Amino acid sequence: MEKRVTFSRWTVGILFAVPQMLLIFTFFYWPAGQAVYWSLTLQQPWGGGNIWVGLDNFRSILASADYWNSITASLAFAAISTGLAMVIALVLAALTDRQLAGSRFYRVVLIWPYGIAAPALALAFRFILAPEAGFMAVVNRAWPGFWDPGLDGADAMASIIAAFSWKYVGYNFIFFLAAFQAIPRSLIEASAMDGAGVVRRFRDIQFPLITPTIFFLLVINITESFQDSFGIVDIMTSGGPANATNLMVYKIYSDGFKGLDYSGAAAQSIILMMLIVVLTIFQFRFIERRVHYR
Amino acid sequence: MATVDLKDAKKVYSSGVEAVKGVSIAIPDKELCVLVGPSGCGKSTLLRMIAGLETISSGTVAIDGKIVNAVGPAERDIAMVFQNYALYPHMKVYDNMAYGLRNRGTPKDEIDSRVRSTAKVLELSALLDRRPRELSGGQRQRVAMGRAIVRNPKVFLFDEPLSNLDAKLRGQMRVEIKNLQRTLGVTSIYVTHDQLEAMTLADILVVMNAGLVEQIGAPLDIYEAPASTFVASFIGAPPMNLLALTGGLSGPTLADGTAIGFAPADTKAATLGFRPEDADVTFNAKAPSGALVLPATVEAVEPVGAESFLHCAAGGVRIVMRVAGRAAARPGDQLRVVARAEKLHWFDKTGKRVG
Amino acid sequence: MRKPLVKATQEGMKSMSIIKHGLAAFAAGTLGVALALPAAAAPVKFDFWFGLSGDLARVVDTLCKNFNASQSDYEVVCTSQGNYDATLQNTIAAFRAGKQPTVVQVYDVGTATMMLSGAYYPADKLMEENGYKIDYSDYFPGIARYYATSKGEMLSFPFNSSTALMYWNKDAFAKIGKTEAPKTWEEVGADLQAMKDAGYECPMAINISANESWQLMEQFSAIHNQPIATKSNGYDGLDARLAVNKTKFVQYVGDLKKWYDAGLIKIKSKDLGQDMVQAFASGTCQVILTSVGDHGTVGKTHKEGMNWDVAELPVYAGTERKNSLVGGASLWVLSGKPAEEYKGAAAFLNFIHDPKTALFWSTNTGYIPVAKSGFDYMKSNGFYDKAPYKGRETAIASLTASEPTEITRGIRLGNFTQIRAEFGTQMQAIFANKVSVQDGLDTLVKNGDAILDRFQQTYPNKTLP
Ligand SMILES: Nc1ncnc2c1ncn2[C@@H]1O[C@H](COP(=O)(O)OP(=O)(O)OP(=O)(O)O)[C@@H](O)[C@H]1O
Ligand SMILES: [Mg+2]
Repeated sequence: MEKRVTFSRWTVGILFAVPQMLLIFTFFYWPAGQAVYWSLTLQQPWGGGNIWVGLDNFRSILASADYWNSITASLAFAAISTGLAMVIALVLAALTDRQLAGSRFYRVVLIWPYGIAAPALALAFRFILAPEAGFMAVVNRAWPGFWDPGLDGADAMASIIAAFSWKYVGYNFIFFLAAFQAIPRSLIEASAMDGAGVVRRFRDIQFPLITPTIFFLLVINITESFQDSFGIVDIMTSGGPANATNLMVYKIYSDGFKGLDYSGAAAQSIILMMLIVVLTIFQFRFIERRVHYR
Repeated sequence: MATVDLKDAKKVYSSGVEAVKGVSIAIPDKELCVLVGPSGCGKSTLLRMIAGLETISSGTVAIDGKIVNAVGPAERDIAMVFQNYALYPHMKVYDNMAYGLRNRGTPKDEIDSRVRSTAKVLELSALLDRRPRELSGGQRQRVAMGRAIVRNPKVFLFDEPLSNLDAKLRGQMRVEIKNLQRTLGVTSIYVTHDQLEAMTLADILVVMNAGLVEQIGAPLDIYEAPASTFVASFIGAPPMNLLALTGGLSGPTLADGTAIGFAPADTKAATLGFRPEDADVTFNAKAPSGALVLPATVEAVEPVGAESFLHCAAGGVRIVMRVAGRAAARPGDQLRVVARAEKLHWFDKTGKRVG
Repeated sequence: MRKPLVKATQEGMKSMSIIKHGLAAFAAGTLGVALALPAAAAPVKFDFWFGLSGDLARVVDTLCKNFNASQSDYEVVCTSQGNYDATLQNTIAAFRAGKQPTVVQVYDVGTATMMLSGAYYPADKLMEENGYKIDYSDYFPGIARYYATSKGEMLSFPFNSSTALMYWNKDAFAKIGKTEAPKTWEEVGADLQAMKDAGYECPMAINISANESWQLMEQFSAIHNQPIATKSNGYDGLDARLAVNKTKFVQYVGDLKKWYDAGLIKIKSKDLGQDMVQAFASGTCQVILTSVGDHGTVGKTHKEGMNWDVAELPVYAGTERKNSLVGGASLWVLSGKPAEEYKGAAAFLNFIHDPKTALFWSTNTGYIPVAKSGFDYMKSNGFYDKAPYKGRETAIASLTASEPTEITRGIRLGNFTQIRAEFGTQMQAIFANKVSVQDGLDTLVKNGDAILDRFQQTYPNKTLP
């Protein structure tokens, strides 16, 4: 009797899980499996046939200086843009939290950048940062040749970092502000009475208490900087000059879709996926330890 | 060790709410002052003005004779116990208590000895390595107290520190706080809306209503001579019975037309009152002269053990009587309430005490 | 029904459009009737995907409407996919899912990929089977050879075609005492210097992204009869490899770089705020090399009163000029479609081949006619005699400068888009002084060869038709 009860619970559980599993399977494992298969073969783009090549695709990618350059560029982009987007948002949110008047207005204003599609944002930044027509033209007039994203890789990288960070400052700000406001007022007041000034209060009370949010945003920002950067790169630099902004996701796109090298792109996307997984595991293993959940 | 002086302190919030409308209180050194009043009367606001957490719209707050209107909370050397305790959730009990000392640059060994001795007094020694979420409500309350005590400040502020505890614990802590305050000899201000807490703790009791002080004094003085109908009905449980008077041809009468039979202590008297324990209940038809005699009908009986409360209809209103032990009366019984004249309180039309 | 219509429209532009409008109404009427009647009379629908957008897409839509109005048996449904890359990508995805369009526009450098795809229905075979006689010798040889197999079969039909020209500002050249466009690069160098000396900030504008591979590398190489790759630029086998690091192209890049360093050439691109065409039309820059397709844009947007013209791309002194390459796209018919749709596709291709369609097409876009008959028809209509179309015949002169050679008939290299991207990368590295000209071009060849090698491996045992 009891056995039958457990058994039927099992069945019910599985029945409930099936739609979930189907979803995960069709939208994650199946395409991922497909990508793995493609990465181990040479695919004819029109589907005429394929050849098993084992790990050759990976070998040739990992032997390519361009690919390592792409990895370096992606990591630099991820680190700098995440850092910028988080620090700026944190400072803005901390200031807004102290001076709450009009915070609803900031909230709306600052969420907009995130709502703007990457290509539209990139178009705007392309205009702002254009060395001859936009805002930077003024700077260039003062110091000719100072800003040249068309040929200077560092300038181009700075452009896409600026655009991406700008987009995520708004996103991060909303989360940071919510986190700050979720800290009971009395805690801040208690620390004020305990003799902590603004800076100490931030360091000792507010910062530790929003670490779950910081951690969440760190994971999201880094992951998105590997993925959501695509539209910005596509519009602003097309990966140039001389591959300086050829981030991994953009290289996958240009090799796979423009160059019709599906197999190479599949191998690259598997490496990218593994990189993100490793980074995420790293963050959970080593950074999450320092997070204080309330 | 300090005095706290409020002079015509006012608070108008930016929303326009006038929460404190001009309060003057002088609290001598080492005394415990309790602010009591109904919800929304401005107690917390006043306390926070003293703490420095709210700006003072007008008037002054002085600690130890020094006006502190423009001094930040950190520099006032005040400690506060919050209603929700406001313990730092990410810090251990030890660090919660040590934080204020660290911020003031106290040497490490001194911090340690002070935290440990305070913990000992509050029986927290075994809990120093725990985080707040690993504590019971009562333990958290003690940590909050400890955090305030360990700093040895000039003034303690308490904002309803016991309201989150169950009745029994509340009773214990009440006694404990009183003892601690005495032994430490720190001037304290304590906000509550529980009149029992107010009566038992206060050296000075301040009854507030709608942003104003109704009465300041020793608890028993206030109990015995409430300055207004508001205080009369707020202090004491059950509250004082209040009966409105109307002027009749042969002297004042009650709402149901009963003449009270003698002259009030003051000609302006518009309300008379007596405490539930200050009147006798009798089935006897005879009554002493110069006493208020009210025929009453018992409506409900509440035995609470050592005493019983009789809810009666009398003089056109509902009154409550306190009788010792088990009450003989049953609902529906007709009886008389007899209050001697010297036990009666008189209030004028505006509710002010007269006579 | 179709035949008499074609006759009725032979009286020139005006009457043609009037009749077309009338016919459109008539066709709509028939359609209405057809819908009301049993389905037998409903036209056969088929899809046409193309890669043009904006104004050009509207012209294609009109073209489609005109075709639908010209007969009642077929209805083409034309859908823009945004750009050439996306068109090819989407078509491949659709083909793999069995949902491909019947006709698709594929850009010039996609030709090799298409030929090996096994996904097409040969256009010449299609026309023959459906009884259309197309005179293939009517196509300009430079255009036909680009899309034909090595045996001369037309697997797809040239559609929108262009070639690169030099746009020059007559006013600026007048300032330095010249009334003619420079014919040689040596002359260009001297003229640019003279213009610089005369105070022009930007004598010439170029861009160095993947897109400019076309005019800087491909057109240059063709005109100078220099190979881009071995094996006749890939026509003779998938084992072709790049050759541009050993040809005159090296000197050309060296000269461009020298002129850039001397301030005679500025880089202009959309990313930097102003593209080449805008820079020229606004009078900022005095010389650009770009497609004849931009002729209309410059004509419409140039600075008030500015005198300008187009000329054939210059050559180095002593070079025997060869024909330039055709750029643009051709129309491919895809396999796996029902026979009625193929009948419709054939009718559609025949409609496009008509000289009057060529006139309509060239008038409304900057593209050149792809067949001699179309060109002659337009000439006889006086199309090239006056602004804004005057000058566009230079493109035909450039395309027909010589009989195509083994090298100048076109480029047949796999994954050429990636090679173009590599061109952009290395040019940027060269112009940013990261590498020398020779090193940059060597890297271009090395990386390009890796791409070609990969393409060859993807199609083992296959040869180009
Ligand atoms: N930050 C604020 N802004 C505007 N009005 C406020 C603010 N805080 C309190 N008030 C108002 O001021 C009045 C007094 O509030 P206060 O918190 O001092 O009451 P209280 O006596 O402590 O009541 P309780 O016993 O319920 O805690 C109330 O009317 C309240 O609504
Ligand atoms: Mg309160």
